Amino acid sequence: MKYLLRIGVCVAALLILLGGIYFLIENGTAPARYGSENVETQKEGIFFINLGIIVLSCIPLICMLLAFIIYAFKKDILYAALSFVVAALLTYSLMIGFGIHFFLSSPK
Amino acid sequence: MTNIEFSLITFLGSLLAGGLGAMTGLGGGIVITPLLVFLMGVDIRFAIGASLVAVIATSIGSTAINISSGFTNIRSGIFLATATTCGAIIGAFLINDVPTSALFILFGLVLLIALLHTPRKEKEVISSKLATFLELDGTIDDNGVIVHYGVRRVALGWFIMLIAGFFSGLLGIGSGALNVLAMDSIMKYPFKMATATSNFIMGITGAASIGIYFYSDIIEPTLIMPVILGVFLGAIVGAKIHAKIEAKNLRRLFSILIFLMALLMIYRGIRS
Repeated sequence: MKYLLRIGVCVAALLILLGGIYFLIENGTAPARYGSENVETQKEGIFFINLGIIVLSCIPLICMLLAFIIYAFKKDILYAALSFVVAALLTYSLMIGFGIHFFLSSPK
Repeated sequence: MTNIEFSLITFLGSLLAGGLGAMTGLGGGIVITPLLVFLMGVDIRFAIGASLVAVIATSIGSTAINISSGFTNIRSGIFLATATTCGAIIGAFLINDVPTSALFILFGLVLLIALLHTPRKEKEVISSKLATFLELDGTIDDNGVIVHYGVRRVALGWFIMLIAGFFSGLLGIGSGALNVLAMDSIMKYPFKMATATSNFIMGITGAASIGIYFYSDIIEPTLIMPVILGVFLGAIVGAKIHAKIEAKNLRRLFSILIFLMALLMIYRGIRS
């Protein structure tokens, strides 16, 4: 569990760093815009950053699935059920996001 | 401002926020949003998205460290996460429907709540029936002395966690202060246990909102990049320093900073 968390965070951070460097090399001198006006889509490197964010958000889900398996093996029905509920809620939220945005940046 | 300048300043700001948050134990995630909004002129919803990702990262990072010290009660974490994830999903869905001025005011109020908490005097607690049924109690190793602790008022605690999850989803924060309020003041977990378990829960809560944030179009990858790298690095360095120094004055300073940010957020909300 400990190693899963550590490795997961490091992989996510590396992906985001990689994507960030790529993005800055390609777009470093373009003006930055994050105000309330529509943000222009800047594609380079976004894929890696998004992948990093997704890896990060999947770690809690993997933890809950692991917990579910462990409690199920211990025949601890109550906690197997509770971790299943949490895992299901996380899957629901992530599915909503992934379905639309995984490879796209901003379909408007 | 070019992208390089923007990323660099955001990175340094997040580094400072993450470092101060870890050093003082108040958590840096909560100041990320005001920092981005007031200093960098970022739209509040993009800032909320970036802050949430930072919350998930710090939660996972600190749980990786805490879990071996035994202060994280995983059972209680899973049980209470059923509340926070429900709340977070509802909150996250509402983010584009709540008017911006209300977001500012709510954020300011939650910042103020974060400052209110004072640890209670710990004394022995006998578990309630529901807590015994759920096996939420446990033992804590207090400098070599193994102490058993009980847990009470489970239903009320669960409900407060639902609200904490709601604000986490709506405002992109970890809701650490509300979590600890529920676990420490209401359910009577030992303080160390409450903070470590709250940290564990925050990552789960955050992951429950993030998919919906993607869906709501408030995840801006190039903004998140410097924030997350800064907070992450800051939190690691801060935690190392935290172990070595008594941070009372620093804590006071950071509290004043949070207080000022809260007032600014509320002022901006009322004005607009």
